Formats: sequence, C-alpha cells, structure tokens
Amino acid sequence: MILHIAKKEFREALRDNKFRISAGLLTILVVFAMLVSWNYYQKVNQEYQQANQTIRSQWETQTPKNPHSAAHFGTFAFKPVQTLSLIDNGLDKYLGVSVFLEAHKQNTAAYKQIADQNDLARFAELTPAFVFVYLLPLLIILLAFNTITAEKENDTLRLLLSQGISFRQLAMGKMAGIWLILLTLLLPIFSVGLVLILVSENKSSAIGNYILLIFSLLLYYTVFVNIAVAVSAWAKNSNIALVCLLGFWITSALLLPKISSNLSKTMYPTPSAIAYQKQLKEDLEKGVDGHNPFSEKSKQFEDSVLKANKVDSVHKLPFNYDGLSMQAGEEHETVVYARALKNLNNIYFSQLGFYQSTALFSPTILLKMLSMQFAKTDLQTHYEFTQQAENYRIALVRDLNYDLKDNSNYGDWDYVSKDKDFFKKNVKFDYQPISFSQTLANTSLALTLLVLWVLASVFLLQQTTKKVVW
Amino acid sequence: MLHFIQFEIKNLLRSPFFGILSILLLVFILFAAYNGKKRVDNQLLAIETVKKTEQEFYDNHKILLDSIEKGLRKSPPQWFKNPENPLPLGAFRGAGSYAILPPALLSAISTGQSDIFPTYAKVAIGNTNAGKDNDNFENPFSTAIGQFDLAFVLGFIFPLLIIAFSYNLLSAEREQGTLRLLLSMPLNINVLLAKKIVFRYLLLFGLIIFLLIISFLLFGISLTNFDFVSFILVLGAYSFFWFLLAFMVNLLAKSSATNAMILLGSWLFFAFIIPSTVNMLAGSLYPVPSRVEFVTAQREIDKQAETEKEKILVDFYAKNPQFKRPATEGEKTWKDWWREGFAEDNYVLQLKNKLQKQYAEQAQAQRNFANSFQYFSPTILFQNKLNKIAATDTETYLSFQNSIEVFERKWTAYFETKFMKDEKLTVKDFESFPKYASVQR
Repeated sequence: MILHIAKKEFREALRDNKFRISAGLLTILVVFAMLVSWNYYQKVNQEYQQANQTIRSQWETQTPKNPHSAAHFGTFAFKPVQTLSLIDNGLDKYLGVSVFLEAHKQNTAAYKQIADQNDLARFAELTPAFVFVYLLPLLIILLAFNTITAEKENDTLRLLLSQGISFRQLAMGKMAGIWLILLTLLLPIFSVGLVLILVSENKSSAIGNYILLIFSLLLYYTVFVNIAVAVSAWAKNSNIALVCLLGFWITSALLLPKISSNLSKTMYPTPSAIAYQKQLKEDLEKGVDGHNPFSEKSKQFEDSVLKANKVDSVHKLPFNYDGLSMQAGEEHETVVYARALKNLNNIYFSQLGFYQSTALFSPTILLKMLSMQFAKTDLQTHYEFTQQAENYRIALVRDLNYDLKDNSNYGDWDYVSKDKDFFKKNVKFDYQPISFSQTLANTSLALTLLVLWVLASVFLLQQTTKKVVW
Repeated sequence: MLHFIQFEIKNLLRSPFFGILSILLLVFILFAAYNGKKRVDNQLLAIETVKKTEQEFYDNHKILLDSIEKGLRKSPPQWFKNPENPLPLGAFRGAGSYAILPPALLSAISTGQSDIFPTYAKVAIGNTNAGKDNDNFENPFSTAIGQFDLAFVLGFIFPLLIIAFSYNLLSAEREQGTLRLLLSMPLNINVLLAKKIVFRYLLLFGLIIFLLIISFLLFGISLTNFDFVSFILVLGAYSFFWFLLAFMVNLLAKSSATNAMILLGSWLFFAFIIPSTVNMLAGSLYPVPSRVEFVTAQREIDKQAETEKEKILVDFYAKNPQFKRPATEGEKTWKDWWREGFAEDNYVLQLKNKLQKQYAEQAQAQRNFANSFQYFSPTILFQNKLNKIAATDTETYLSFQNSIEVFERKWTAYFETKFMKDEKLTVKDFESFPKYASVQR
C-alpha cells in the first residue's frame, strides 16, 4: 500500500509543471555550478603548485648573504587549495592566501580575494553547496507542503482512509514518494560531483569527506522531509502548511544565521586591532630584542651568557654572540605572537561555538558549518595552515641564526656561508593536510546535533500522524 | 473612498498576522540599527584612539625638541631617539601619521565592505602598503555569514512582508466566494485591486518609516540630513517594485498558493539566484588576479634589486657625490644604511608599482563586469545604493586606499629629503609635516 502511494506521488510530481520547472532549474544550476567550480579549482590549484615551486627556487637562488639578512629577506607560505572547495568554497574568499615568513615576526595571511572584488561578491555565490544547503530544502517544501492537505481539500482523504489504510501509513507512503523523487534527482547530481573529484588531485582524502558530506546532507533532507510531511498532516489547508514551512525555511536559512552570528560577536567581542597591537607591542618589549643590545632585557641576557661561559666579553665567546641573541629574541617574539594569536583565535572559536549552539533552532546552520568542515574551507583548517606556516618559520629562522652563531665571528656582518648550497639545504615547507579522523573528531558534535534534529523531526511526524486533524 | 480605507484597516487589524509581523519588523529594525550603531561607534572610538596616540607622540617629541633648541636638555645620544633627526619622526618607533576614513552620517544603515577594508591606516616612511596591510579583526566566518544590518532587513526581509500582505488580494476573494459579490457591483475589479495595493504600499511604507525614525532617534543616528531623504526615497522605490510585482501577479488570476509561489520564486530569483549566478560568471569570465602569482612576481623584483644592487649603489653615489661610499658592511654608519636603503627602495618601488597597477586593473575588470549586471536585480541595486549612502561601498574604500598611497609618497618625500640633505628638524618644522586630507564625498 505504502509503495502504491509512493508510486502515485512520484508519477504526479513528474507531471506537475511547477515541480518540473523548479527541479529542472535546480539541476541545471547545480551541475553548472559544479563544472564552473571545478574549472576554477583546477586553475587556482595549478597557480598554487607553480607558485610553491617558484617561491622555493627564489629562496634557494637568492644572492649569498648573511644568514640573518636572509631571514629578513624571508619567504612565503601559500595556502593550499582544497579539492572539495569545488563543492563548497566556504571562507576561502574571506581568508588570506599567503603568509610572509620573516625574522622576528609572525605575519597574518594576506591577500583576501574579497578585497579584489566588489559589493556584489557579498551576495550569495552559486556553489554546489549553496544549492544543496539552501535551495534544495525549498524544493522539498514545494514537493511536500500539500502532499496531505491536498487530499483533505479534495476530500480524497476520507476515501483513502476508508480503504483501510491508517493515517500514518498514508504519511509513510507520501514520504516514500518524496524520497523516491529526491533520490532520482540527487543521485545523478552527486555522481557528477564524484566524477569531478575523481579527475582532480588529492582525490583519495577528498572522497571520504565527500561521502560524509552526502551522508549529512541526506540526514538534513530527512529533517526537512519529515517536518514538511508532519506540517502537511497537521495543517488544515495548503495555505497554512506553505506559510509555516516557508517561515521555517526563512528562519532557519536566512534569519537565524545572521542573528546568531551577530549575537556571538556581542557575547564574545572581538578585540579592536588597536588594542591587540598595543598589547602585542607591550609584550614584545618585555623580552630580548636581538637588534637592540642596549635594552634592559638584552643586557640581562648578555650577562647571563657571559657568566655561563665564564668570559668577560662577548668577543671571547666560542661562538658568535649575535646569532645567539638573535635567536633568543626570536624565541621570545615567537611566544608573544603565538599567545596573542591564540587569544584571538580562541575568541573566534568561542564565537563559532555559540553560533553552533544556535543550530538547535536551525538545521541550516549545522549543515553550512559541516559542509565547510568537510570541504576543509573552514576557519579551523585555515588556522591549522597558519600554525604550520609559523612552525616552519620558526625552524627556518632557527637554522639561519644558528649558522650565524656557529660559523661566524662576532661583529662580522659581512659573513656569508662557505657552503654554496646553504640556502638549498634549509628546511622546506611541507604542508600536512587535516586527516580524515581529525575531521571526524572536529565534526562529531555537529553530526550529533544533526542526528538530534532527525530524531526530533521523527517525533514530530509521529505526533502529527497519530490521527487526522480536519 | 473613506469607506474602502476603513474596511481595509479593519480587515488588516483583525488578522493576527499583521500585528505579529509588525512586531517582528520592529524587533528586526531595532536589532539591525543597534548593530549598525555599535559598528560605527567602534569605528569612531578607533579613530579617536589613533588620533590621540599620534598627537601624543608628536607632542612629546616637540616638547623634547623645544628644550633641546633652548639648550635646556642635551640631544639623546642614540640617533634613533633624537628628535632633531628626521628619521625617528617619520619612520619608526611609533612615528607616522594616520590616514582616516570617517564614517558617513548614515554609515549605520549598511555594513557594506566595512568589515573587509580598514578605515584607518598608519603611514610612515616606506610603508607603501599601509592601506592594504591594516587588517581589521573581524571573524572571517561572521564576515562570510554577513551582518544583520538595516540593508539586510529592508533588502531581503521587507519584500517578504510585502509579499505576505499582497499575494492573495483577489484570489482570497475568489476562494472565499466573495469575488462574485464584488463583480456584481458597479466597479472595475482592476481598479479595486490597484486601490488595495496602493493602500498596502502606503501603509507598509509609512509603518517602516515610522519604525526607522523611532530606531534612529533611539540610537542617536542622524535623521536631519539629505542622506536620510535619499535613503527613504531609495526604499520607497524598492518597495514600489515589489508591490508592482505583486499587483501584476494578482492580475494573473491564479490561486493564492500559486501567487505565493510565483512571488517567492521572484524574490528568490532577484535576491539570490541572479546575484549568485553573476558572481559565478564574473569569477570565471573575469577571474580575480592570482595573488600567489603576484607574490612570486614581487619576489622576483626583490631578487632583481639584489642582483642590481651594485649598479643601483654606483648610480646613487655618482649622482650624490657629497656622500662617500663605505668599503665594507662593518664600516657603514646608520646614515649609510639608510641612504643606501632609500636608493634601493626607490628602485624596487618603481617596479612594484607597475606590477601592482597591472593586478589592480585585472581586479577592476571583474568589478566592472559584476556592476554591469546590477540592473538585472532590484535587490542588488538597492544594496549598492545603500552602500553608497552609507559610504561603505567598495569604491569608497578603493579611493581611500589610493589617497593613502598619495599621502605616503608625500610623507616619505618630506622626511627623506630632510634626511638626505642632512637637515636637522626644528620645532617649526612640526607645522609643515604633511597632513592627510580626507577624501571628498
């Protein structure tokens, strides 16, 4: 019986012009979006690979110079492009793509794409994720809002029930029909996505995340299907059902994300740039400054080094004191920058935490966050990258300062390494992507919340299909 | 006519819908105005703070220099602390002057690009990237989600309200069976529909102006200015569009549900589908310049300057015979370091400016393309107009960046010239330091 109803729903939907037009448009939009995104990903990824090679060879072939001068000359770390950014480009355009790595200073990632665009870029962007997360629920609402109310309005409900089917069975049949339609629509689309990933780089790690994304999308659609059928079962007429469901979509997809994002900033205020920089400056001044031997801290450090080596002048040390004091300054600066950035990032993550908690009222918030996390275009991934770039900077500058300390004489700023390949032997930046298990761990809370939403929607469905409300 | 209005008002007031939506609208407008006001206040606070730090720095050095000139104190032994030296007052250790973009009168109505671009920048010698470097600390996630500002409430939510109040003007009469009754009367049904629409337009528009005035008064946002008038006019035109659309859809004589779907579809189309499609097209047809390639190209210039260093310096000492070139690095005094630094920087700067211009032009191509599509969607037009009124549009920030660059060149030239001529700064010079002139709106 349920199967019969499902088949009927399916056939009816295919005949319905409203559905045919919107489903057709949606399919075209999403496939178009996938192809364009993939094309863009290929281009940007190639640029990234090329730039990575260039920047390394520029470092290796720099003119011979004092290693600390080389540390000031510096190099760059570029943010890798994630394969699944072709599904969801997440925060990509709001985040910098390159970090300048130099002595004494941790720089933030520079060159946000949005700064090269204009006001229009702040509107939604047609990505596959935009269609999946925002538009598809609307299609579900369109499919389901009158699935039961129409039977009430046409007085066919009495007829159906008199055939011996229970109201709940009817609802199940309607749901099965809706799912049949959805899957017929979605499976080809998901397959196109899969094919595009298979012909991209780093596909192995992307596929796992893509499957997780599809899995959570299906859970998300379950929530919408359940709620839509429940509302249709409860509502007296199609008008009421439509208004309620659209209200839910508007609240979940449009209002709540912005409201809770704004509230999160009120709850955990972001420090002003001025306050941040002032604090940073004060903290920096509290330690050794490699370039200012006259500062109090620098003097103290010098005395302690002289004492430990039992000499009375830096000239008599068995190594170049400049290299050591530069490194001491560096280590102090590193800690100060790390602490400042950690504090700032903690505020960001508190804001995100608050934001995620409001997902209790909006499943769209959850899916937006999840899809970014699976696509690795979220804040956490960016933070991970800047962290790795910073660790690399620390290692590189240490190499350079120690070469100065161990292989040159005090005050000899004309020193260059005797090794012609010195810069070639410096450490290389090797970005380690976030692993699948890390992603799972990062997303576990959001996934749990999503399952809660599914359970809640099942409960709602159960309550509303107990008996008919005429 | 009076009869008609009385009837419509009674009708609306009796539906709980109207009350609930009005209250919701009030809450949204208050929240949005509060958010906007808070953002502007933070901006003003930042401006005040940076002005104060700048003032303090130069006041202190002026006092010190004054007592040195009067012989009350000796010049500090370290060159980088001596106020007679142009470099400590132009280049480092807190020196520099702020270029500031003050908020417009109605800045609070639209966040625009203000969470992307900085509204002030510190300009010091050689700080050629000042306008772009200064990162504001907005959480990128909340930037991506977008702010809950008046532009959002009026541009996205308000049309939904208009739709809610006008999607079923005739269809409801038909569905209730009262349409026949109406048709039997001696009146033109289209005129009646037009009257109903105009009535709702005036009512909703009046309501929203009332709510806006209340919230502006509450948060102390300026009302008595030309910007507010143009804001209201733009809003009037924008809501007129949606009522007109509703009127035409009502004329189609379909069922209420169909009307609602057509209108919501239009809303989705204008507010989301068109902008997002244009964004995608702009991105692929006129891609933004690759900034990673820009970085490596800049690096190439740095390296070129290194290999050309000898030539640059030989040139410099040939043109400036008054300076003698030191033989080794160890012999260099701080003055030699700085002179040679200026020579190298000027060389690099020329090349980098050219590169920067090339990339900026490429970015502008995408902006122009995207802009040419704004007429396809009233929502885009509305947002752009509001950003203009709030002076938070991209153009304002780009011209601010340009003016910073101009100022930086003036500032650097002033101190560099003094340094190269080996001139001592005097207290009187403080008056002639270059000042940033605000961009004209």
